[in-house]
Amino acid sequence: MKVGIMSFAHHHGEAYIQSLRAAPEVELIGVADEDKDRGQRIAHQYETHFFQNYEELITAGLEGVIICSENNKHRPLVELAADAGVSILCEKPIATTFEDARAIVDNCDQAGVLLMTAFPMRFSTPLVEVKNRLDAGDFGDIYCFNASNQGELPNKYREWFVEKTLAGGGAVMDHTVHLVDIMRWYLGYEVTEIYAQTNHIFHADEVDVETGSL
Amino acid sequence: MRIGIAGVGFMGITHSHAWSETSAQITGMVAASVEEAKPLAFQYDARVYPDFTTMLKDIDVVDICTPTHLHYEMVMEAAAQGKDIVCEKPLARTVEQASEMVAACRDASVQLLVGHVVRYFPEYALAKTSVEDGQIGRPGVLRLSRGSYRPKKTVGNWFLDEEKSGGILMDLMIHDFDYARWVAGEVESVFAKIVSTGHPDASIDYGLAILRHRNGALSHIAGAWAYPPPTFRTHIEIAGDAGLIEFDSDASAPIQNLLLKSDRGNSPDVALPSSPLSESPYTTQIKEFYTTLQTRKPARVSAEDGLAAVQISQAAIHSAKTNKAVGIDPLPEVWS
Repeated sequence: MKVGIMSFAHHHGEAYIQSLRAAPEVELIGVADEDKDRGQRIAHQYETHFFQNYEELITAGLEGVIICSENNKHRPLVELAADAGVSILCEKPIATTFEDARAIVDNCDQAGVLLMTAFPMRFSTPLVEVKNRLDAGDFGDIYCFNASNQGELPNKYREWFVEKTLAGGGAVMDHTVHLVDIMRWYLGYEVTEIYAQTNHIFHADEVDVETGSL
Repeated sequence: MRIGIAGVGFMGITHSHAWSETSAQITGMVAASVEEAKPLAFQYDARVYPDFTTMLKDIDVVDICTPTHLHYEMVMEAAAQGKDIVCEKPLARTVEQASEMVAACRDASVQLLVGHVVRYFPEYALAKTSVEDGQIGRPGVLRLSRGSYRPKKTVGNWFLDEEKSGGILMDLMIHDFDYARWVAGEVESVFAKIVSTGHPDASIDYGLAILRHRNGALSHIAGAWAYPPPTFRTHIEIAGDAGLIEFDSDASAPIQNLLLKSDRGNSPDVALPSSPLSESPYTTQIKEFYTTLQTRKPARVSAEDGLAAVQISQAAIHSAKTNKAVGIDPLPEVWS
């Protein structure tokens, strides 16, 4: 299977190169990045081909592409790939607005390509074990689900993670998205309402996005 | 100092033991019936009184360990008789009652000490001190949890009667509402959910509440009447802009009880958390109350704190019923 990577705005892009190389049936044919310096540097480091633009990469005979751009730039790249009939693994969250997310899903449906969101928690061995036990009925009916996802301020990996326009928000957009996905996956039904509170006490002087949320 | 204890359930027993560690004398006891009070009175060489009013005449301080819905009348009567009062949490079943009780005690110049015992648990007290000392900077997000089994009294299980106890949000989670307010300041709004709202026949209950404090800090409070007996576990996480405090009771418990018997016979009706390596926090609390009663040096928990905690719990109950966040209006008693 021939696969490429679009953009290294997300630092997971480099990890994907190594994961793809570890899969014997996959061939990484190259990468493209609107930040040419960054893309060329990474292509050189990992000894893969650097395509001059996304169009060149997407028409190079790919079957699949991994999109690692900033969150608000996923949509045009998804559309480019879908229109070329290339299946997509897109970093999470797939968009920064519901409108873009809806358009992304619809576009891939119409194009008949596979679209997958990068939710690695669904592949975590302990999380899968809990899912299996839930499905087996070991816990009976589920009445309540209490979860948290905490971490460091991610700006040391990429500055845009804490920029509202590019990332879509702060802690909620980056972290809550995982928990909400696990809840839907575990429980098997959709969310009907939400209540949330956020604040901006941690790293108040460094960033403008929310850094605490419940 | 002559102490009279009203109520001889698990809290009356616990407080009696704590008073016996002070120089106060347990003079009298009163319960729903004379027979009920006899064993504990015998143990502490106290006289059993036929009713609360009669006992009040012979004592200096009354310690009210009765079910929550009975606190109001007893406190009002004791205040009218000029007696100092120790009252178990929750101070009262409603904000209206609690406000009246605080006012009555002020007018009568009697002390009203509320048993928010979590403030006396060494780990909770240390975490509070660390925050006050500025060790973690400005508190931003608190996550507090408290989990045990559902109280299982054989007769008259008032805990499960919302009219009497207020349910899990009032009876159990008030501990952490009070603690969150103590650490992070006055509360602006509360949103809460409890399992029993949608599943009244469930054999467990579980509550989640989100508090927004006036200074912008957030608190997440989880309470469980859902674990197998004799579990009682608590967790503290206080995140500040300069650090994090964490405590997990499981990690520090020297003894883990994993018992194979039925749910009766080897666990008390109501579980109490413990700190096996130090003085019982209930004893620490009563000792401080004893000093306060003698010297009028303020205890770490005031009557107004007891009132404010009832206000948060009541707002949480209202939120769980209406499915909406509920604002907390500043109480004149607390803010004056």
